[in-house]
This record gives sequence, C-alpha cells and structure tokens, in this order.
Amino acid sequence: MQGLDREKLPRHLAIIMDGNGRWAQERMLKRIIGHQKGVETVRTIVEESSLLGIQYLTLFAFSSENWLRPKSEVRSLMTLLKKYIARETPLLMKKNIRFNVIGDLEELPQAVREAVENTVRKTSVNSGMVLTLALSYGARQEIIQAVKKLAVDMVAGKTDIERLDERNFSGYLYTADLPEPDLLIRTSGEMRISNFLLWQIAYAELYFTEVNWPDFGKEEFYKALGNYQARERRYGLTSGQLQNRS
Amino acid sequence: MKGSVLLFSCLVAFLSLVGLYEFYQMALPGRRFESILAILSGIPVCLAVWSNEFVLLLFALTLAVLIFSLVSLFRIKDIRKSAGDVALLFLGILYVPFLLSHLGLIRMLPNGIEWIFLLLVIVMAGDTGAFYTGSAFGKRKLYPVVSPKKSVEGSLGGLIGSLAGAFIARATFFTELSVFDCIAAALLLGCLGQLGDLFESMLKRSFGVKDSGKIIPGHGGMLDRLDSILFAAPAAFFYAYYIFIPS
Repeated sequence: MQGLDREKLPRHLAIIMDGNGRWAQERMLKRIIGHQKGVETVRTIVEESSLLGIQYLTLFAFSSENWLRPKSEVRSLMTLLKKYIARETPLLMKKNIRFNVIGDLEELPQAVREAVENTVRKTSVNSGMVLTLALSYGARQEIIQAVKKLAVDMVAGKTDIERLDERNFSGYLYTADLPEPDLLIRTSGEMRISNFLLWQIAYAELYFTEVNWPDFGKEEFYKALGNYQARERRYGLTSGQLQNRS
Repeated sequence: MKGSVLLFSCLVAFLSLVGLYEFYQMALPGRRFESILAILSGIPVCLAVWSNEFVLLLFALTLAVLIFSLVSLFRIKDIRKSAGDVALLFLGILYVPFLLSHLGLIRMLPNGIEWIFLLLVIVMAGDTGAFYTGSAFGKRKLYPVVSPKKSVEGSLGGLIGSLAGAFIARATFFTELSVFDCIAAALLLGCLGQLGDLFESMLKRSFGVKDSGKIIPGHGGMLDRLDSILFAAPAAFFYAYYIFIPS
C-alpha cells in the first residue's frame, strides 16, 4: 500500500487521460503509438484501482469535441477502442469489474457501440469496481439532455417543478447511478476541466500532473492518491465544524 | 516502470560499447587512441536514442564525424591508409551502437517488451534450428567464401526454427500477434539474423581474425553473440511501428 490509508481512498475517482499524442510527438513517433501506449496505462490504472478497493473509476476516453480531430486519428482511435474493449472483457470478468459507459453512444460507429454494449451486458453480473468510460461525452451536452428528459417528464406529469432539487436533477444525468467524484486527476500539465462532469465535480478535489498519460504508472498514481489523502475536504464548512461532525 | 527502462537502456549501452570495443580491436589493431576515442563517441549515440531526441542524435553523429575526421587528419601514420581508417571508425559506430539502439526504441513501443522477447526467440530458435538441421542434413554449401561450415539445409532449418519460435511466442507471451505477423516476423527477422551472422563472418575474415573477442570463454566474443540481433533488431522495430501497430 506504500503509505496509503485504505480508509481514505476516493470512493469515486475520475481521470482525464491527456497527453498521449504529445507523448508520441515528443519522441518523433506517430500519435497512434501514444494512444496505444495509453491503453497500457489504462490497464495498469484499472488493475491498481480495483486492487486498492476504489469503488468507482471513471475515465474520460473520448469527448464530444474529439470528433473534430483529423479523420484518420478518429478512425484509429475507434479501432483501438473496439479492440481494447473486446480484449479486456475477460480481464474485467476475472477482476469482478462492472463496465459502464456515459456519453452520446448514438454517435459511435455501430461496431464500437455493439462491442461496448456487449461488454456492459456481460459484466453487469459483477459486483466489484464500476469502471465507467466517457465516450463521445460532453458535460454540457449531458446537462442539456437531462433538462430535455426532465421537460418530457414534466409535460407527461411524472414530476413537477416543486420537486426539482439537486438530487432529483442528478438522476437525469448519465451518471445517475454513480456517486459524485471525490478526486479528479488530469495528466499532461493542462489545467482545464474541458467539459468533463461539470455538474458532478462541484466538490471534487482536483489533481494536475505534468506527466503525460502513457507515463502515468503505478508510482505516479500512488503519488496522486497520497496527495489527495493529505488534503482536508471541507465542503464549504470550517475545519472546526468538520471536526464536530465526525 | 521508469527504473526498468533506465536499466534496460544501460544494458543496451553496455552491450553496444563492448561490441564496439571488439570491433575496433579487430578493425584497427594497435591503434589504441583512435579506438578509445571512437568508443567514447559511441556513448552520445546511445544517450541520444534513449532520450528520444532527434537533435541529440544529430549532434552525436555530427560530433563523431568531426572527431574522427580531425583525429585522422592530425594522426597520420600511413597517409595512403588514412581514408580507409576513418571509414572504419565510422563503420563501427553505425554498425554496433546505431543498429543495436533500435532495441531501446522497441522497448518504448506498445508491447515493447513482448517484441524484444519475440526478437530474441526468433533469432535463438533460428540459430538452434540451423545448427541441428545443418549438422544432420547439411550438404550444399551456403556461402563458402564467407563461412565454410554453413549449409543451405541448415539455413532453411534455421527459418523453420524461427517460425516455430514465433508461433510458440504467440501461444505463450505474445497473444496479440496474428498468424500473418508470426510468419512475416519470423521470415523477416530470421533471414536478417542469418544475414547479420554472415556479415559479421565476412568482417572477421576481412580483418583476419577467428573470434571477435573472448568475453564468453568458448563462445567467441560479444559481437559473435550480437551479430544476428544487430540486423534483426531494426527490422523488428520497423515492422512493429509500420505494420503491427497500425493494423
């Protein structure tokens, strides 16, 4: 455990996996090599998280805006995604991990969507960590679709404006079944949220590292978790109030 | 992970420099100063490849060109041999550390470790296959001017050994390989490994020595061990980079 407190791990960890292309370009390699290398990191982090006992891991794999990347890169990313999901399914079963996706799945190519749905179905019996991939995901789009669903429900009389509160609204988001993230990590030195889980991260701790995603190994992961454990989470209260509560 | 990359790079550098030392012992016997300088010039080449910096590689090679040229200019022994000597200095750098440094590049790729083991398995299974088929069925000489003991039968047996090695790798530690990858990699790396072996034999004959050195008693020198890898490693890297990964 290398000095980590098992009791104080984030229940829900969200990661913006950034810097694959940069990693490759710094080495004069093709960008796709960086993405492939990134897949190896995903495997490491998924395994480590499940081993540590983190209950929810959410990875930002592909944003709504990523569709605007060069066509060839999008195509190879989709192929990689399909291959990854198919290849990792047995491992997810073995580790008792439940696979989940958030985002606008309608946008995905048919073959990728089928692979995703297959794995979600197959792993739905698992009771361990919930691994969520954000695919074709954008937080604003998510909020808009939540508002639309809500409006439909209101018109149909299933709910009314008086009942609308934070809890109720959260139930209309893609992440309805997930708790809010406790820790959000972003790699490769960018200090942005880039339209990821905007509603859900209201009180998440943020951790930024210069390391590119392909180099984000076990060591860097433990460093991030150690940093998180050293922080005091106050949710807008004072330290004193927090101590009285616990 | 980081630590193991560094360790691996050090190992490659060590093999490179020992190989380079042996090369200069054969190529320029008695020219100690030139040999030491050439080996020192090999270090930046190794460094440049692990740092993945193209400019540093350019710097290392440029430095070598200038140093070797200046040394040959001001340390003339027999002026009619000067051009040949400086060419040998360059050859050593390009032949040993430059080719071997592809191992460092392979290590960096996705499935890099698997690729390195695949390369070793293909080359070693090829050697073993060639030795046993050659000993049992060897009749037709392969290339007597370079290597009188090698036979066509042994060479074919080597390729079969390489193929078997590749399929064993696929069945055990490298399941991502397709059947096509196995056949292509085994034939490509197997052939180049054998050619690397022949090329090194040619060098030794040309320099008039039997073994490249005596680092491993009874097994000749480091270069005798590395010769196949020197030719096969770059091919493994380019195959992985251009063919295996994009598909």
